[in-house]
Amino acid sequence: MLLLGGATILACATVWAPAAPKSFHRTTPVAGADERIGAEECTACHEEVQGHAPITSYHGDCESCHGPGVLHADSESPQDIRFPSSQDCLGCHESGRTTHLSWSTGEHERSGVMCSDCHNPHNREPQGIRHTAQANLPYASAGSQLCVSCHAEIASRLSLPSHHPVREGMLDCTDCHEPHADRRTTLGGATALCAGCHQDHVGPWVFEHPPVAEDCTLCHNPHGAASYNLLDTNQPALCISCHTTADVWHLPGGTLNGAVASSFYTRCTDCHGAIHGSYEDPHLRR
Amino acid sequence: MNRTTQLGASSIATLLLAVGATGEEYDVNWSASLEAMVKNIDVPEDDDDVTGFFDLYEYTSGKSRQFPVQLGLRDLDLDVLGTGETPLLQVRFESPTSNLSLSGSNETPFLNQRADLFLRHEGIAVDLDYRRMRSDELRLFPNPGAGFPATTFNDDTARGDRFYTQRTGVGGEMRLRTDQLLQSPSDPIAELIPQLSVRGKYEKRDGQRQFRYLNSGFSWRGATQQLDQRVGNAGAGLVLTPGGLFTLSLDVDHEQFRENAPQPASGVNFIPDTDRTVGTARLQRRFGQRAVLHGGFRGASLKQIGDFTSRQLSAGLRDNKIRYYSANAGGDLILTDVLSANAFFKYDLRDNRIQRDTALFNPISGNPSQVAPFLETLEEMEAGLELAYRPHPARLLALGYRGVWVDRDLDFANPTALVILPTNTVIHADTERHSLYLRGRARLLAGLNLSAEAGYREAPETGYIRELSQAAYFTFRGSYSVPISRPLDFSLFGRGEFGENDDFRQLSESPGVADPNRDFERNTYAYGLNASFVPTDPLTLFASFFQNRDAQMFDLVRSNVVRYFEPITTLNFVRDNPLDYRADLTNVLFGGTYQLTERTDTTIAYSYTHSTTRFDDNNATGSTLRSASRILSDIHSVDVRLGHWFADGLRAYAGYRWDDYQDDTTVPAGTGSVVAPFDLSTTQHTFTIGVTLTNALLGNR
Repeated sequence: MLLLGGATILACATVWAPAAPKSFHRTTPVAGADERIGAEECTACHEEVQGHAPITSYHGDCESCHGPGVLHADSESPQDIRFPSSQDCLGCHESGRTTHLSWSTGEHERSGVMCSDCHNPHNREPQGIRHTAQANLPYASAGSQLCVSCHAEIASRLSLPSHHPVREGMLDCTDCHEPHADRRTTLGGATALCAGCHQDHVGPWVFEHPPVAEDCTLCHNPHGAASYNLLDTNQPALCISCHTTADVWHLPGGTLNGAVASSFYTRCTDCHGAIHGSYEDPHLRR
Repeated sequence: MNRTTQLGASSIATLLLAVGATGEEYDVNWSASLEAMVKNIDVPEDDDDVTGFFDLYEYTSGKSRQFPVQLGLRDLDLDVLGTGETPLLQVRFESPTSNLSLSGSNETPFLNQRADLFLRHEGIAVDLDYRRMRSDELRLFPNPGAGFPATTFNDDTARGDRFYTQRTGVGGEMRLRTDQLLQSPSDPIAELIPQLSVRGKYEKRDGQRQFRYLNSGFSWRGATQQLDQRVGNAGAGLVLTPGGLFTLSLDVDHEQFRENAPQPASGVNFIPDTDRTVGTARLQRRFGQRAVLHGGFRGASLKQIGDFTSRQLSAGLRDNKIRYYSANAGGDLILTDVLSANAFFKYDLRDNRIQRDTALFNPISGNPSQVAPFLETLEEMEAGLELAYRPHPARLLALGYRGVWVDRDLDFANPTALVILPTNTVIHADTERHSLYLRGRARLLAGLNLSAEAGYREAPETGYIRELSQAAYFTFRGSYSVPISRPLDFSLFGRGEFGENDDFRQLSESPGVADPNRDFERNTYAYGLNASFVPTDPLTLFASFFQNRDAQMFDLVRSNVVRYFEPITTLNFVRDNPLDYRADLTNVLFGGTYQLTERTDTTIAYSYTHSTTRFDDNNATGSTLRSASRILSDIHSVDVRLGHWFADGLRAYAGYRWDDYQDDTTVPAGTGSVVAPFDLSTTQHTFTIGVTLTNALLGNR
């Protein structure tokens, strides 16, 4: 990736490219490196790190994260210093905070993702978010671009005709997803998350559509879809794969009311407009 | 075809006050971009009031006007840094659609814009978030091919109505770290309550939408409905660490949702005002370096307040609320140097507390009343266990199990009236699903990283036809940095799921009439590839490809009458033709960046997205559905940028973007719905010029 200038300039001139594959940095202790040397000695050589002052006031000790440094200072070999592990970060960022309560069993931890894969304490971006300008989501926020550097499929789905406005930069992945948590144990039912922005779809209704009460993703794909309104499957396939159709209503030439007869060929919701729930009609037609 | 041109830009206003000042204690860094934008839009509908495809997410005001001029602020970053470049105040502002004003137009433009502010100082952290966004909705108009009698068609939507939702919201949170505020980590208060927080959010949503429905006379109706919604949230939390034994987080939040637009007196599409109150407790404890446990509880109440429909009032229904309870637990245990185990448990209960002893739920009392099964409570439990073998930090192999149990307490109405009977519902009371999977990740060679998961799911009980009773699935992801002299990186991914459900059947009443199975089969897969290559130092090439297929097979099952006629009429089902539904999605991207000189760079990228959904036309029903209900669209985009640093802190840039959306979704005449969408096909040319200024221009950096 081609980058120009310092951190502030980066925001203006970053060019797009897929992220390089994640690399594994050694985080295990260096054999024989057990003597600390102090931050002053570190900064004597590392006057800057990635164009910035090496340590902020709250990251005041290089060796707290990189391990004892006497061996490295003597040899000046990268082999004699280590990169911080997630445990190094959690030593300060776990207890007494809410962010990492379920990190230990979360998808990222179990997949081997480390804090430093997403956060760079040496840059000066909010939350230390790494910059990974993504050509496949060029106008998304920095945080969302970081996510799709691994979750490339999501970037493609966000390019589909119907999507949440992440690619336009108006929503972030973290508006819905908590990257530090265990998704399997998210508190609240499957509709709780969607209800935070779509209150007018969650009722409470008098007449409910059970899938709406149970899980929005039974019908919607939140990342993107070819169908309007993020429908996972286009109408009428989505509806008639579960529901039967009555000849008197839904087929051309139906005897009861020809006016609505052929509508099932396209969008069932043109008539069943209150598909999320109704106060008026048990058939969700109004 | 209408040819419309628009010049867009932004105006610089106020936020450059912190111009490059560098003091002894603070560094102030900033950058800001001024941008002008010209759009040239070709749309098939000669009407500004018709939503084009690109308006769905980025509204362009005054499409038919000649060269409306705008100037504006595209983005602004501001950083106030303390000792060691410690961030103290950070502001990020973005306005991707710079529509502050339009010359020659008296329309009120709408911007997509957002701003974030982060303040950090001596134990106080403040995050503020402001967003304003607009999304337009597809406009539909009467389909002349549908051939509906005029007496059954009634559209209140004016031709000039445009449907959209614009959201403007501001939210924030303040967190207090007591150890820093008290300047003593060992202070008893700081040890017990290390963090306090308060938060709030307010959002207003304006706009209008088209609501389509059947009115009580069984004629189709379209109506324009106003949106005037307000959402307010307030919450507070504290974190307790008594004796350092564990971390306990307690939070309470209250939300008010109000729809202030006039509600139809008939109750049609009535949107209830609601209050939601949520309380959450989460706990975590680490046991040395070998074990960690976490768990939590959440209780929530969602209650209708304020206005009630006339039917609610006449039926005496004034108590309409839902309660949610949720609990979880999880843990990770390191068994040996190479073996570990993790497990989780989750329980959710949705308890619909609507006042059901009213006439509204008595099918004998008249229409409308309960017809479908009523979901009294929904209980879901999920648990899993995973054993992991990790012989090396970069290698892992894990075997896992997950189980899901769902219990739906369905209440069926009195069978003496027009109601759906339990024998012919399309929802079952129970879901039971078990999954066994194997997953692993490894760095096999330097630069080669692989991860994969494969599993099998068996569901003895399924609640919905679209749930799979048997399914096999896989995911994989890999990346490789080719060990050659020039950087060449690949990454690829894929996933697939293949399964079916044969648990459902519709029961005909007449002797000798078949009882059709509701077999459902679904096979989905997706794969993709990303690559980047730096053949020479100033040149970077990149490409990505994504392909997704979703194939669903099921039978259309018809009935002679609607299912809820069964108590009073003989109900029989017939299996219509088998239907094959398929969705194919493709996304391709390639391009490159080139550093022309030390100060000049250029980028060009092309992307293509193809979307299609269709039925196979291997029988009469499939053929009809294929012609009446399909999606076939292509989106092309070319983006070119050129930038040059004229001086430290002064960069000028120019860009051209070509967006083309070709839509073949239109419902053909003679078939289909009562309404059809406008043709959304649009070609859009966007020219931008801009200048970026940074504090380096003033020589302080």
